[in-house]
Amino acid sequence: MALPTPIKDVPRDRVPAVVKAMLLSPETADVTCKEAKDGTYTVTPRPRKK
Amino acid sequence: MGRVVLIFTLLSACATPSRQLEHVAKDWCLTIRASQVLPVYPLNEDVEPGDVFLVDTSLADQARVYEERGFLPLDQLVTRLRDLPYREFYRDGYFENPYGKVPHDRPSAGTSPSAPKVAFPSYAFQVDKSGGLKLALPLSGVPVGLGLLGSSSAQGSVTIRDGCTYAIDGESLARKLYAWWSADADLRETFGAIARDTGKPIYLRVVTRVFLARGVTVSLVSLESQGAGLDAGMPPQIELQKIAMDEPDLAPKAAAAYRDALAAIGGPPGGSVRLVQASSRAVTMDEDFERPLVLGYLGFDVRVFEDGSLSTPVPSFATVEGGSTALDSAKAVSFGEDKNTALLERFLADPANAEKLKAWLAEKGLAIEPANFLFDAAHAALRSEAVDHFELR
Repeated sequence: MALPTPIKDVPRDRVPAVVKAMLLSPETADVTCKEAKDGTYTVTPRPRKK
Repeated sequence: MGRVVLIFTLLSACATPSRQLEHVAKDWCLTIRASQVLPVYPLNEDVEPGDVFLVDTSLADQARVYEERGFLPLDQLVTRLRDLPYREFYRDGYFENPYGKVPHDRPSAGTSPSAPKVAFPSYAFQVDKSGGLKLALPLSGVPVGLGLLGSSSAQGSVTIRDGCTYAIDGESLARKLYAWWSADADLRETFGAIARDTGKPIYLRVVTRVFLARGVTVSLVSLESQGAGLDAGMPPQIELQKIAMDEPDLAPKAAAAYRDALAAIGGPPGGSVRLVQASSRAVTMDEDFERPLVLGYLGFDVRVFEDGSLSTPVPSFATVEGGSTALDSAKAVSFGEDKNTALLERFLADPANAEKLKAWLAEKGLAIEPANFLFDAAHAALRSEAVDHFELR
C-alpha cells in the first residue's frame, strides 16, 4: 500500500475519522493536522522511515 | 559556552585532490548533520529564517546528492520573507529575555550575538594533509596546524565556540509563504510553468532556524614520530614546555618562531588564527570569524504543483535525512465525505471487509488508500458503487 494523500478542508469533527483511516496504511508513521483560516483542517500522513 | 568538537574521517593519502576536496566537504557536513542540522557549506553569513530557495531536483536525487556530498547546495534564492514576528516568538515567558527586542546590532569581532546559545555533541578526527587540504576545509586552523607541526597526518579535534541559534516558528513562516505566493499571480504562473516544462517536481525550501558560530578551536596532535620535512617558515622542532622548564631564556624565541610560522602560513580571509599553545607534536589554535557565520539550518519544503499551487509543508530534515517521500505524494485532495462514507466506515471496521474492499479496488486496477477512498471528494461515485457492490444500504 502506498502513503495516503493529504486531505484538505476536513471539518474539525471529522478529523479523528480521517486520521484513523490514514493510520490504517502501513506506510503511515504518524499524521499531522494543520488548521486553516476557515477552521477546517488539512490532514497529512507522515511516512515511516525506510 | 556551547562548544562543538567535530570529526573528520581519515583522508586517503592516495586520493586525488578533487576527490579529497569532496571528502573534506562531506566530512565537515556529516559532523553538522550528526547534530540534526542541515549543513551550510561553505560557511555563510547571509542565510536567515525566511529565506526561500528553489530546489529543482527530485527528492530521490536530493537524498542521493545529500548522501554523496553531505550537503545540499543553496544556490537559487527565490525570496527572503520579511517582517517575521520575532517579537511575538521571543516575547518574555518563564524567563525574561532580550531576544524579541529586534533588530539587534550586528555582532562585530569579539562580540557574541544576542541569540539563544546552542551546544553540540563532541567528536574527534584524523586528517591527512596530502592534496589541497587548505583549499577545501572551511576552517583554516587544520591545515595551518598541520603546517606548524611539519606533519602530513594528525589526530585532533575542532571545537565550535560561541554557538548560537535563532528561529521563527514554522506556522508563521508558512503563512507568510502562502500569503506571498497567493498575492502574486505571475509568480504562480512562472513556477507552475517551470514544473510543467521541466517535467519533474520542484520544491521551495524555507529556512526556519539558523545555527551560527563565532569561531572554532582546532587542536592537532601529530601522528608521525618526526615532522615530515621542514618547509620554509617552519618553526624549529622543539618542545616549548621543555624549554620553558629547562632553558627559560629560549622560550620567548621558540614562541616567536611559532608566531612567525603562523604568519607565514596565513589565516582565513576575514578571520584570524591565534596560537593558544604548541609543542613539537601538538598545537592548539583559536580561529575567529570576523562575524558569526551560519553553519547549518532547519526548515521545511513545499512542493510546487504544475497548476502553480503549493503543497503542505514537510520538514526538510525529514525529507533528506529520513528519506521521506511525503512531498512526492503530497497532492492534497479535498475532503468530500457523503452518506456512503459512514456506511463504508462501519463496513471497514472489520479487517476482513477491508481486505475485501482492497481486492475489489484491485480488480478495478485501483490502489487507493482507505483514507482517500472514504473522504476524497473525487471518489464519491466509487464509494456509491462500492456500497451497491457490498450491499451496504
